[in-house]
Amino acid sequence: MSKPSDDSLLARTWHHSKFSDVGRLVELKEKKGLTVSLAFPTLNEEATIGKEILVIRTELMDRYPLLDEIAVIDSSSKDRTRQVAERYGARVFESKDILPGRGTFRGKGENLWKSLYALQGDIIVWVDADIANIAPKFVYGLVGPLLEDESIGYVKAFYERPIRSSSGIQPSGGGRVTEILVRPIFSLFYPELARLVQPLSGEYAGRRELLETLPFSVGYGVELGHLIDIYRKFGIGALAQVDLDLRIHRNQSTEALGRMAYGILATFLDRARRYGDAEVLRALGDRHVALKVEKEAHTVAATEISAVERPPMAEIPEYVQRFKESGRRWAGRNLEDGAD
Amino acid sequence: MGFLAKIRTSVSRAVHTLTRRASTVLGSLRKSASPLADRLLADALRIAELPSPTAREEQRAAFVLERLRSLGLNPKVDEDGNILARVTCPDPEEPRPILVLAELSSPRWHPLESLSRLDADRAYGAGLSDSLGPATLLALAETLQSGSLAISKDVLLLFAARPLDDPRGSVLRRLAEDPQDRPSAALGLRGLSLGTVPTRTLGTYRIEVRVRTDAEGSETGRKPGSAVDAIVALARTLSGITWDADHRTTCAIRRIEAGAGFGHEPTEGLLDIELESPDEAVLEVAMKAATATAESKGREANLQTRVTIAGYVPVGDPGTGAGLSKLVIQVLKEQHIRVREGSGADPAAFLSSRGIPAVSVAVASGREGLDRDEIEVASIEKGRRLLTSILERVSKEVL
Repeated sequence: MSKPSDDSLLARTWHHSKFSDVGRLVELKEKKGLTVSLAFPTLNEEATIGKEILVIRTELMDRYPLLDEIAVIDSSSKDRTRQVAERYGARVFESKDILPGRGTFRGKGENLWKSLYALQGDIIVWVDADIANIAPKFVYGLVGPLLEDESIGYVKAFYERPIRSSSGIQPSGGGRVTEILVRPIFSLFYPELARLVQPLSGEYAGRRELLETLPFSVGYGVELGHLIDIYRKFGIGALAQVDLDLRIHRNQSTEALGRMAYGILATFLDRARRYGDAEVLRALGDRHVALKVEKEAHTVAATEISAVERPPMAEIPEYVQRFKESGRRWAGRNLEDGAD
Repeated sequence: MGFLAKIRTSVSRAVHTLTRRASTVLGSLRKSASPLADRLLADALRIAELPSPTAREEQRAAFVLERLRSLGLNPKVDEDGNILARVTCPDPEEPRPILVLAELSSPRWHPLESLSRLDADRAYGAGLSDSLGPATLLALAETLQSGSLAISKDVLLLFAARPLDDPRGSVLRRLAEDPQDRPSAALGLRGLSLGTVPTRTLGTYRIEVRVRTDAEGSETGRKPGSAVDAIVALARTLSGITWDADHRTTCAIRRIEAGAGFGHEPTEGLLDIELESPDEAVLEVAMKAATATAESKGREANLQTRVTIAGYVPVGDPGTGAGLSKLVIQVLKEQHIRVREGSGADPAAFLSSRGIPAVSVAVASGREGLDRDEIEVASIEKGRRLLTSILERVSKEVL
């Protein structure tokens, strides 16, 4: 493993403007014979999904054919998310209808995992559906490094994150879970990953050949799991990050962040144990415990947080059958293969 | 599982599958029939998110310039920040172009963090109706450059950096006097409301009155007056004046703003008034009278008063623009869009008063609001088609 002082990730940290010549990216894509798919994982996102699809489709499919496909992978929303998405030109899938024989779980990670099967592209871009200030940079900024540098396999977004609340747009530390939980953990165990500005950002892109080798936590831990798996399998050189300036989104309550932190910590412990980086000596609790105050007394609110993990898509026979003819293999670094 | 249960499950699955397929088919039918209208809407949403008003609308101008250049046009920016792009016709019937113009700015203040959003039928956003003008102009540039709208004259596109009624602006005057660019006819684009044609143009003066009370108390030792009371009294005075014998000249209160909320002594106030008249001479007299009245009432009430002319649009020459207005109404009827003839100020009057047929047309339906506008998504394609039809006809007919 690289030394803790290794800042190599910072050398692969760019501003989105470096990739703003979308015409050039399209040329690169065509020259390399690649296809690019974009997926939005959704659950009740009717307020924002329409504009996200319209803005991205008109710019990056109609004007510049950078994207070959835009899809919504929906967790059976109760609002009009699917209708709005269809209206503005996305292919819409209900998560439960993809690989129905493999069952279904609720969670963003589940939708991402299933999107690997549903989408066709060689490069997959995932963008959260709650971005109020969507712009094409959210996509070309993430695809650019993958088209320019074949040694990069996975690109994370980072940005300023003011919060939209009833009292308007408020500045925030944005990424409270990152600063209080994830960066300290990375600093202790994987210092090179602590150079990621926003390891939990919901926008990232990767090569199919890399993504299909990763297990996916169906819940909160999917982003952290990806980063540790990629780091351990392919090395820090497979990662890059891009500054997208500003992302305006909904606020999350402290209670919700607590549950998120629980899910992330559970995923971390799982990975640390799996890679021999730490040992857990006793059975862990199986519920997130929060306290509520009712009539001046504390009561316990215990929530079960899904610890389900989907296996690498490359191990799913239906997937292998569907994509077997591609025969693609990423030429990037692979530590397991001794390429480092 | 019993036989009946199996049948029930099979039927349920079949119904579910059929429902999903029907939903997909209906969904695809709902999709916009015009990719260009979708691009227009996307541009309007993005322009509306760029802060305005600003001095030269640099961010909005950068967006427009990038778009125009990507279409292969060679836009020019004048000293005031206005963008001009000429789409040339290979063999024009006459050298004078048709001018199509829109304002880049959103003169109604809206917060910088204004964010637009979209559902299946409507788009929402602060100042969104204002951004439809430049977005429609960009869609027209694309239509012309793609060759899908072939007309026999050059088309000159103008994205005005300042509101056209801004007294400091002179772009229309310059164009009217330019031997190269003087247009043969002009169409102004505004967001709302589709079908409205200003057939009885009025001249207007937009006057801003700012008052300030003495927060520390006057020299007499009396408690300072409330800016809210002062501004309301001034508004009452101005709106009660009879400006001409047949009441064709009016004074409308457009905005009153004063006070800082509960618990605060209101010391500053703002009053926007709009004088409208079909008679240029009466309008001029009314402007001078309103200005003098505001200043004298301010003095009487011991207020610091500043009166500014914020906007001016001339009456124009109704005769010059009549043929063009008639043509626009005819095309609206042919396209089954309800016509609403109206009276009011139209910046196109700057051109008609210089002998150039000019009229403004609206490109969408919806509602303008204080915090956000609502636009009917389906109306955008109607507006786009209306504009191309008008342009086709204008290029063929002698106005």
